[in-house]
Amino acid sequence: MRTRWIFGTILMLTLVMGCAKKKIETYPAGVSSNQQIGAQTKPYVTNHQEEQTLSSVQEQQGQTVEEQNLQEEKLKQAQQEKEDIRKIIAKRIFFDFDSYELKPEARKILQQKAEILKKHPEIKIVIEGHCDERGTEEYNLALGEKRARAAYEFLILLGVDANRMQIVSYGEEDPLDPRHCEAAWAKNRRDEFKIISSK
Amino acid sequence: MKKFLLFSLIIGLFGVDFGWAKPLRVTIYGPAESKIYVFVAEPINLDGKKNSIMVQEVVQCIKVKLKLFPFFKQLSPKDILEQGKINDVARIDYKKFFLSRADIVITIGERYLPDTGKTRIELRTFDVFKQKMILGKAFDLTNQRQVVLMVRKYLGDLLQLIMGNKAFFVNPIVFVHKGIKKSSIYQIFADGFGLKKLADIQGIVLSPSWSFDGEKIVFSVIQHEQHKLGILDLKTGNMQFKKLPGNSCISPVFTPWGDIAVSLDFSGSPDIYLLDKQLKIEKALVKHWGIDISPCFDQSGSKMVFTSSRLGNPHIFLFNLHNNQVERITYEGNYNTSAVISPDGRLIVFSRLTPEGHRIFVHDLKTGQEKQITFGPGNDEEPFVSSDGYFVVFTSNRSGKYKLYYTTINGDGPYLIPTNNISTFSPSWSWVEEKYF
Repeated sequence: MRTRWIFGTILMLTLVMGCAKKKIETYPAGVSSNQQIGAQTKPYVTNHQEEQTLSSVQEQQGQTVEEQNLQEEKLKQAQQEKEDIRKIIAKRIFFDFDSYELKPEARKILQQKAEILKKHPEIKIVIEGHCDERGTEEYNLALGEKRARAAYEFLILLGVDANRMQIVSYGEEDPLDPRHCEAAWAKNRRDEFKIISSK
Repeated sequence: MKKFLLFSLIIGLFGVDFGWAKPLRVTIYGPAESKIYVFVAEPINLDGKKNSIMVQEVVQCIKVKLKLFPFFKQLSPKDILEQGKINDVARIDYKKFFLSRADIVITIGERYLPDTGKTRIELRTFDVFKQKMILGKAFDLTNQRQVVLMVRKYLGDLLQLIMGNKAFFVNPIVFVHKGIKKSSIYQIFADGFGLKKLADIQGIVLSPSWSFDGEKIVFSVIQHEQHKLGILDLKTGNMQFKKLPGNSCISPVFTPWGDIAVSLDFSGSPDIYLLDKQLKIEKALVKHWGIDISPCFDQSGSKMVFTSSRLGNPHIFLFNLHNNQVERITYEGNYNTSAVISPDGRLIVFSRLTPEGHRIFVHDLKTGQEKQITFGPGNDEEPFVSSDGYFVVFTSNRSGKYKLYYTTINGDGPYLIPTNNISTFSPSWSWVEEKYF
């Protein structure tokens, strides 16, 4: 009988101690059992869960940074591509005096433009025809129109939709180089290409 | 101007007899125009007092204005016996002027009018050979600013007598001044009088041209990457802009019957079309795969001169509106542009690019002769002939900046038209008297 009582007491103590150990393990440090009981009515996060959340946030943050970098990279690429497109579109072509015939180098440049324009149907351009100061205002206005039209028609031949292009002649009114010499005149006898819409 | 009380007095023999005045007439188509030797006499104070500052200014103004005409040669007092002194206009000793080869003598009389406080200036012109007065007028002036108005009026009447036309003083010239992103249309008279801004316009304005009644100015303008037709109504001050079919709107002009002819490119190449009063395309006047621009009509509307590159280079052509025939005018040079025709349809004035730069040439349709009338330096461009068919206004950068000049169909001068140092382009001379000054 005495042996049974001792065994029973040891078992109870063991059970009680085991339960108490569990409680200590689960309470956050510095919180009394009373407080903890009261707090049990609200959801709480265990240390483990907290660690998990933290790592998850860190992971998310890591992903966001990566995404951001990726986006920035994409943006840079897009900007670079946009800049490349703009550069190709903006490439001027030049003409001989009193001529609106496209030279071989002008045709090459127009081919590059045509590729870009076909790849990006959202782009619309205006082609400006310009002349040097020699010749008279009215004739140069007509000659500028012929120069712009020569590029326009060549781009149409290369498959660019006519509705995406408009032309305007400025004659001798907007020289690139204001000097009065052959070098300046050669620069001024040109077609300029400007993007008016890229949506 | 309103205070300017002007009246004409018939003094002595004012009757104008053209047969009688024949020796003094300037024949503009002559092989060499005649020179008229003029002596401007010292002013006479009719009250017997000392001459006023105002009358001295009248003398100066007359002398300055006479220098603007190549056919007037002024004689100085030292060229005339007794210094050409005249004491009484009723008793002029014509012999001393005759011996000095003077053709005409201009006298100036001054009288103070105590009742009105005005000064009466009496201007007389005498024909030395006929020993008769050919023009006499009196003007009552209230201030010195009226001197120039009086002199212009008087010399205009003298020109009318000698040339049969006073366009030089009464028909305004319109031109363009280009600023940053805007242009202005100005008006001025050939002697530099009356510089006035008519309009400020956004964009680049080109080729202003008068209507034949002097009430409207048509022009082309580049605004917002588009060519438009512009019309300025001087009567109402209204401005109208119209986008026409195609991309280009070049060199619009009024026809003598009030429609507009303009070069449009909607068929693929700049061709000359006629617009009706509603600015709708009526028909093509000239159509070709080359460039056809710069139409200009004579006063009768039977001839239209234009520039075309149909033969490769720009050349001048004449379109006969009666039979629709096109005739080539220029064969020399390989860059002939900016042609205008004289009101009587006889002369074609145009710009040719020479190795030295642009120069102005005249082609006589009657004789087929061609003559260079400007010689640079720099570029002489955009000629426009006056309504008398004698003077030619043009722009030149001979001084480094484009300014207005005029010459004659004989190549006299050229004479600078002072425009307050603003740059000038596209001059166009009205063929009728100023209406809204």
